[in-house]
Amino acid sequence: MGKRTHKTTAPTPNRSKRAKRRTWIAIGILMAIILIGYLVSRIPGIGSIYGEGDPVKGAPQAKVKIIEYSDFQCPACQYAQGPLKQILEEYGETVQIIFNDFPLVTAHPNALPAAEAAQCAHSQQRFWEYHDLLFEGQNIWAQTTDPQPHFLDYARGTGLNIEQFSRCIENHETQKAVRVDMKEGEALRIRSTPTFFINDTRLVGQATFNNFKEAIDAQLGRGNKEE
Amino acid sequence: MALWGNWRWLRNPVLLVTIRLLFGAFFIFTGVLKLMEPREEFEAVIRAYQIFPAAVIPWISLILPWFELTVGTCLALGFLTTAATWMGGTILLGFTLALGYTVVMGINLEDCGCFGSIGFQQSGSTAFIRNLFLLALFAPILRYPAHVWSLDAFLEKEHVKIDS
Repeated sequence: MGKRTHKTTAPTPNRSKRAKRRTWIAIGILMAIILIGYLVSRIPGIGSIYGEGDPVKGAPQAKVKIIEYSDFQCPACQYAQGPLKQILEEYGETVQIIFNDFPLVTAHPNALPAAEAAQCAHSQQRFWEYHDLLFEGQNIWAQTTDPQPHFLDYARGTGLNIEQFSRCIENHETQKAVRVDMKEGEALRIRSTPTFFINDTRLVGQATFNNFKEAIDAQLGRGNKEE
Repeated sequence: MALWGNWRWLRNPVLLVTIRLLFGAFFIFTGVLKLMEPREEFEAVIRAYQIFPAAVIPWISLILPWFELTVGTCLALGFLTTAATWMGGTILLGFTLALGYTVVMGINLEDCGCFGSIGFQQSGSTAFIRNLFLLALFAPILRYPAHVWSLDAFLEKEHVKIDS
């Protein structure tokens, strides 16, 4: 009995040429896509953009800086304040919170006036007390068409010089500072609030104690390795 | 009666190519917009759908924009058209099902994340209706992939020249 032979058809030169051509075109398209994708996806790191004069809470030489971009009219930002307080209690001298304004002006009409009011309080070194009152009373002043009376109430509650505060609000003396923060946020491509940078790690919307803890521990772990 | 019946007008090459080019541009647009945003932003949007386990979300946010960009480019050029068309249809169907899930479960989706977040936000229910419309528009090229006026057609002609 004869041996069974299998007929194999070697690829014709033309078929190989076709396949090669398609492959090279596919590679070319893929490389173009990668190049375009790379060019559009470059985002500046937080280290390159950090404004001096922002309100700061915590130890000056803290290893971990939590940079917050926040909107006083944003419910998620209000929610984040609880976990942030817990983090400060837990980590003490190791962390520092730096506040930046990022009012979402199209969605929250009272957010920019609130940010200006808080910065007016900052000019009288009472930012954090005023900041707490704004978030605690958010449900009230956020709903009104004229939140100024509430802002003045909070100013009285914080012991601010009312004349100076009122002048600051009326003249929009702090609007420039708020807009500088907003420009920084736009450069960092921040689109929603709250957005946090735990040193250089971005955290968007996951403002729970455990998520902060995880990010901070990772930074501390990284810092220990470098030492 | 067959699904497409006597809808011969659906086979019009001009219509099919227009749909192919539109969706090519659409997927390139959505892919680029997502790539322009920090990945963490897109992850936050995916998380809001409450569908995927946490471990999978970073992978979706990493792969999906590139996938959209690749599918869009292939559709626009008409390269590997059939595969690109089916991939595009899969993406659209996947998004539609995810959006439908949020509507049915009453999940309040402030931003569907469909266009990155670049000032073009749509709620879940609006995006769901929009996607149903897009699926209907996409259906003809699923049935009749638009090979005319495409790179595939050009290469086929070149190959015929090579062979003859």
